[in-house]
Amino acid sequence: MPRGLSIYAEGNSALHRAHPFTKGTLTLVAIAIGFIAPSLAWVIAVAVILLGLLTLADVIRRFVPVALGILLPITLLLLIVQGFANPANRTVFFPLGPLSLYREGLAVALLAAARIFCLISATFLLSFTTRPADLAEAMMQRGLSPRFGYVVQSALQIIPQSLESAARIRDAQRARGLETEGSLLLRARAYLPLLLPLVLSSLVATQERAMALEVRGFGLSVHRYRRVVLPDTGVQRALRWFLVALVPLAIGARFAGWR
Amino acid sequence: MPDLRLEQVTFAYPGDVRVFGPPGLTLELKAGATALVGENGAGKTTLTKLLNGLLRPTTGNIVVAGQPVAERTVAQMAALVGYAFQNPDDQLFQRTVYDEVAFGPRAMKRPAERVAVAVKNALERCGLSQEAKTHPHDLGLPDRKWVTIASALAAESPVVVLDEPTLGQDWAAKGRLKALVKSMVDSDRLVLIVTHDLDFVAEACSRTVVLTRGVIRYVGPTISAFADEGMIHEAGLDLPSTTRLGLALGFQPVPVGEGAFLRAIGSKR
Repeated sequence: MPRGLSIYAEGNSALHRAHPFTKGTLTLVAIAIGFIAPSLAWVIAVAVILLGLLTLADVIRRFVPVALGILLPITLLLLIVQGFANPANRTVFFPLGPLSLYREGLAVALLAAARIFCLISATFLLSFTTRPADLAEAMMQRGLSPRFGYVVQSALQIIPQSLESAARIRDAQRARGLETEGSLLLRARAYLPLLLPLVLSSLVATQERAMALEVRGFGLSVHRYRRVVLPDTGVQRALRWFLVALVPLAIGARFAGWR
Repeated sequence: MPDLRLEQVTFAYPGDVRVFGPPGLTLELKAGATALVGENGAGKTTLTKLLNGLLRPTTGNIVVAGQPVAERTVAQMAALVGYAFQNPDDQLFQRTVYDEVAFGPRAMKRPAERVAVAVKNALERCGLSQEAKTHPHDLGLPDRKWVTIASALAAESPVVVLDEPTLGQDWAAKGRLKALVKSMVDSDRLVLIVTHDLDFVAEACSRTVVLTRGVIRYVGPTISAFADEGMIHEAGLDLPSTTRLGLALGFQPVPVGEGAFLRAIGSKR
């Protein structure tokens, strides 16, 4: 049975208990500041704060392997491309035969990698500590249409369901002699037998899902009672405004010469 | 030589989700109709997927028709193990029933003449000759299921796995399925039927394997399996209706299948 596209980690930290909007605001602001910050040192400072929050939420052990898996190849690629080919490259850092790695390019690559790290850690901080259903519920409690809320939640479920379907279809075709491993040509040939059943089953599932919703009165224009009420305190609202205010402040600081 | 041999096979899904723990499954099956029964989650489908290499055992060996599965790819195993999956929509993608049934033998690069004969034969035996040019998705679910069974048949493999073949089938179709299983057995094939339908097992399978919680509880004649009501219940199943009725009427030996029940009734008169 699909778990849903959620990497939520059970917990009872302050971050787990915080309102989804507070965590969402924190995520967006951390990403924004990470990209507005002018130097590697400042971006690292944002990253350290995010790492502290991940530790506070007790999800750091889950975060590290995921982050490394994403960040290492990106960083390596950035270092190679920027280190060798950045147009601003002037100062040789490490000669490699006919080529050289340049200090300027490496600095650009490290800054970009640090910003990506902020993006990843802020996103995972939200994902690890917030149930997708709670986020959608919070949005609906602020006036989001239940239809849109459903779209958000079902999208999170449909993707893993489709992945499971794809795995079943792949098994069924391989069991009939379809080669799905090997050369690019072989894999290209396998594309159609895998794709068509997936598309057809997705269409059928969508239709069935729509019918199942309608027969349960999803389209009725009635007052809807909330399954859960997410507590939102004055402190959290104030914290959100404080976080939001940091963004124009940071932009202003950049214009004022923040280096 | 058995058509199928498992030696101390253990298996766990990623994340150490153990299905078959130590000492592992050991099983030998020869040609004939064998039912593989057990409760949901007992490991039936996992076991069948190990037979064609879709899953690889953690430890132990599997030999199918004299060939070690570990040394072959899934595509190579398709020639030895025909497999009709539970949900036909997981495999149907061709424009006609004919092409769908021919997909396997063509993927195995068999000569065109052999493919034509195998497909014609499979369609006939599955009652689909009239639907050869029909789009598979224009058929109802039971007939789409028959298309997958015909596909497994067309592979001309010594072992055929049918996963829940009676699901959604009416009484007449079950009769056709029983006849098909018998004809496969007559041509010396091992037909492994994964099912919860013990009424069908009573009619079509001479042997039964009972799998409960990843452990083989029983391998042997179906008639003896059904004599142990406790084991059948433990496997999350209930005895076939004729057997239950026979038990209630105090028949000994316990009748398995309609024929045996009618004979028992006749002898009481």
